[in-house]
Amino acid sequence: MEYQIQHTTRFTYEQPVGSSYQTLHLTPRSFDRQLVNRAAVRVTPEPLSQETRIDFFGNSVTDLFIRNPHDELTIFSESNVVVTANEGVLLDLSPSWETTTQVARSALTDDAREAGRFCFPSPHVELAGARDYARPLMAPGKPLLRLAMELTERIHTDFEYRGGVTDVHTPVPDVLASRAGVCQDFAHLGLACLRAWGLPARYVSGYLLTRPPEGQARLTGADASHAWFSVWCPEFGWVDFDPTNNLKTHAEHITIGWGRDYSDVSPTRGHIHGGGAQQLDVAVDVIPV
Amino acid sequence: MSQTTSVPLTAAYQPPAGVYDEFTDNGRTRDHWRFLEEVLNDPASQWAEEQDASIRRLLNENAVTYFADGTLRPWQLDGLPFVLEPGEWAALETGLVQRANLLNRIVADFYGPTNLLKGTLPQSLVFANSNYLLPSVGYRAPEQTFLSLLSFDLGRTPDGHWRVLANRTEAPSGLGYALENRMIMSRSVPDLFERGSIARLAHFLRSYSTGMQQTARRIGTDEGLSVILSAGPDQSTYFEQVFLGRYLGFPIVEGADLAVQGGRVYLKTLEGLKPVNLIMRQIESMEMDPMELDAQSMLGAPGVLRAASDGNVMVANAVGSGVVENDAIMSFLPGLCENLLGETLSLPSLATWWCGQPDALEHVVSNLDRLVLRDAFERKPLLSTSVEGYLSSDVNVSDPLPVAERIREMPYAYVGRESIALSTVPCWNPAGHWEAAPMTLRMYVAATEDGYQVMPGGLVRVVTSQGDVSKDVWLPRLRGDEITRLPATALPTRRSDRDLPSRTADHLFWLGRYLERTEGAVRLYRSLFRYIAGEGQISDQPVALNILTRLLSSMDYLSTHRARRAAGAGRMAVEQELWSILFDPESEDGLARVLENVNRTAEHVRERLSRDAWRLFESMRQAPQLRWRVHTAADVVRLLDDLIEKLSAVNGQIHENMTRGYGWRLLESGRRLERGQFLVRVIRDLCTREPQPPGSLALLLDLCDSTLTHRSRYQSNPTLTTVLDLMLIDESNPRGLIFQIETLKRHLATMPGWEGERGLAPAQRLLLAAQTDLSLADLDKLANVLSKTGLRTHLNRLLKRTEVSLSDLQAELTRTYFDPVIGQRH
Repeated sequence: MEYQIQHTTRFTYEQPVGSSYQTLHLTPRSFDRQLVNRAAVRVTPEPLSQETRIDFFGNSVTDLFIRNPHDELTIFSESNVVVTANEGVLLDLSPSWETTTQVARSALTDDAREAGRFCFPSPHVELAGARDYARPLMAPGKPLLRLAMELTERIHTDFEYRGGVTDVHTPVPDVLASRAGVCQDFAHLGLACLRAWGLPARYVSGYLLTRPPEGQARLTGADASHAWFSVWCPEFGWVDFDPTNNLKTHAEHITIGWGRDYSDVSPTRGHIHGGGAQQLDVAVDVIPV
Repeated sequence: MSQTTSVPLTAAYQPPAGVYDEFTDNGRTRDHWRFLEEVLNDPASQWAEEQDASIRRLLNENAVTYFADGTLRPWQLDGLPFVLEPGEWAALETGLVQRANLLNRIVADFYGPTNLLKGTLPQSLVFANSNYLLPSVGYRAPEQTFLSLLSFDLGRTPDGHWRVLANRTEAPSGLGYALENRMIMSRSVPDLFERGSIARLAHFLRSYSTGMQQTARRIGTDEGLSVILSAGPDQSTYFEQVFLGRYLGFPIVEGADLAVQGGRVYLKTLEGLKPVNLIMRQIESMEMDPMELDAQSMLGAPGVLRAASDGNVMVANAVGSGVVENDAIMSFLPGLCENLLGETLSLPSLATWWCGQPDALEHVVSNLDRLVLRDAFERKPLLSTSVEGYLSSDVNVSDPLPVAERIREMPYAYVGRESIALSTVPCWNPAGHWEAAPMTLRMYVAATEDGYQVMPGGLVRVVTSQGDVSKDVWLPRLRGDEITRLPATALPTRRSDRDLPSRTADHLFWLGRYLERTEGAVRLYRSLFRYIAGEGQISDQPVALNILTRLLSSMDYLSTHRARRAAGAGRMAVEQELWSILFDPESEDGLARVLENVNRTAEHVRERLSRDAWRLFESMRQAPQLRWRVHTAADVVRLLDDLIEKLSAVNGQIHENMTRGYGWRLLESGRRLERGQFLVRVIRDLCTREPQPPGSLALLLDLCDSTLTHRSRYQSNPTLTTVLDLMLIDESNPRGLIFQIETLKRHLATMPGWEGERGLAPAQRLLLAAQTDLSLADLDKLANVLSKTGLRTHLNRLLKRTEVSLSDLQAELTRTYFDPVIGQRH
């Protein structure tokens, strides 16, 4: 599937901003299941410097420094991406979850070594409580991907999708307590459950198809950037699950980048002088080409 | 061969059985402590008591404090140093240099090729460790020096062997305290210090600072600066940062002083942006850069991590150095030492089992009763980790079963450690005896041009019945040792005032203002209380009270409700509330607040004030605590007299000891501006209206400290013309208005950016106009009274114009030099 993606982020400030540093994760990356044909980020007002680099995880990052006083900042990211459907991953044919923990820990191959970095707590993924939440699913010998699918279902069933209950800093135990949240929270919870049992799991930031084909329901979270989790399996590599929509991803999820949690790949992160109160408006459009 | 080695003063000294005692061995003083015996042995001497008292006084004078468990505490130093045996030192030196090299290599690998994680070490050692900071991966430290300064905590086991208890690599602190201890000891017992031929610390510090600067210069520019990045006076270790900054000659800056542009780091100074080569980091790694690390932190500077990664600035220690400051790494060090250095680890750590390894996990779980269970990766704050921190578990192990389960759930988060019975050392107990207290030894290692060097001294921490106490560490020199080690080179550069950060400039300017404001306030209060005490010069009491309370309240030094009460009830109303008017910090009345402003501002520029000046600030700070001495108005007058003396002493210190750079000029300018404003207000209040209350001219002279000058110049009672001449236009009176304007003009003329592009700079114009205005004033005209209103219109207008010029000047200076981030003060 080929997609044309437009993502507009607009900050409106109460008072003028004198200088502004921004770090952006707004450019989709290429990897085995995804090819980025074109990508560009345009910023108004004109930044003094705009540079692109690759971060620790291989994601594409844009650093901005703006010196002109401004009361509005608009970041427009546009890309053309081809996503390969994730066929041939058979949940019940994956290795058991116990095997996976051992392979990840032994770190004998490059892949296993890379995966082995994602088995631990991280700034937004505290493990407290998550181990117990996942315990009923941890039957001995259960195939890892079946387990991940069940976890996805469990979160989808137990938690209500509701904005405003949480923010980007809400820790996993609070999400567990409130039984509500948004896509980041569900992704973080999934990660915490998997990592608490020693399994490699990473956070994925990306987009959903905004206008579904005739007859299909629109997925939740399509009007902004979305988030889900990915679990590593020795047989099939990284496989993505979307607890917000209760599914294993197919070809409707476009990846911007991944990391240990939200803090590694937040779409925008800024430091400004001045500004006062600010308002953020985001618009995302993902159109099949 | 040895005469009696029992020590009368320490006769009652009884080290507990089963531990190593540093001082005695079976009741005999160990050889390397013998040079102290003469003082300790002398039955007539009160050495310990005297030494204790002298140290307390010095610590108090220098206001040495530290922060632990949420409170600021006075630093404690025991009068008896800890003496290190020279032979033992040599072994420690070798061991610590090796350890520093080893840790540096490990950090370099973790942030570089990560070869160690490909089979040698488990990945969890790094990726489960919250001190491994991914944004720092790829940072190439100049000369591969990731760790510029390390410290190690050592403890001695009962069989006499030193063991490393902790590696400190993140941002080792405590060095400033070690230096302060040394300074105090060498002052309180200079004779002993000489007799023991004790190694000095200066060479080590010089090698450390020049080494770092040389390294930084290789990646930066020749003019590039070295700075100490601090979190400011609210930080627990600010005291020692100031101390180090002053010692090494590096400016102390805060995040807001730095600007990152085009991938380079600059210091915002009075002369504009100056490139920075080296940042000596005194804040946590996580706080260095809100763009890539803790987004909430305001202490660092956005972009600084990118600049470091691009090789444009050296950060010491490197961001993320805390990755090896934990117990988990300890058990791997012997193997890594073989692997990386091809050597045997010569100074072992206390035996540690990290549960991230299956065998170690089983060992710990089955020995929970014998081992100390600790958090594997937590870094402990340095100074709050008392000796006891090494003896107790982080985790409650009273019920082993659930603990074992918890460990198995997240094994990489725990270590088990051998418990240790630490060696003891004699400490003076103020109750009058020596007690044996368990101790740890902290030693410092720094990267220099000749590799890592160990400081021939250190910091001993002991837990006594009195709480946490420190000791200076003395290393007796071997003969000839010092001579070969003395440095041949002097420090290459000293900081010049040209690099004055804008924020510091702002603080200095305001320190000048606040000091002068305090003096003005004290003089006003003193006149008020003198009058109340019956010493006043104005004969008509109600009128005098009226004038003074009006003056005080117009300057915000007396709340309107108190002023009104005073006007109604007279002196009784004021007398009843002496305390709250003067020193109650909650009161809206002024003096306590003004003093608080002085202290707060002085804290920010502490490294620029001499020790003596600082001592005076300390004693001013303590003035409000003298309330118990104040009962009557006469007591108050004495106390205020005393304050004025102290203020003069501070001013004298500043005048005599501060170099005539931008900083001094700004401080002086602040003072002159404030004095000018004070004069304008007082003259307007006392002279512009007719009829003038009798005695108001004398009061004016007194408030402006010009009574004597007037008397010697005119040898008559003050008249309006003589007073106006002296206070407004006499260029030779340092208390007069025109003198303030001229001095301001002179100071500011040499400031950077002063010559405007087209003729005079705006501030220069303001001052020139004000000066001309005053010089051209006609005294007879000024004295004229408009009969209708009873107002001296000319005088009033002149004062008004001057007042406007002065407040415009303040705005102009703020715009030109100071950091607008700090905001407006008044």
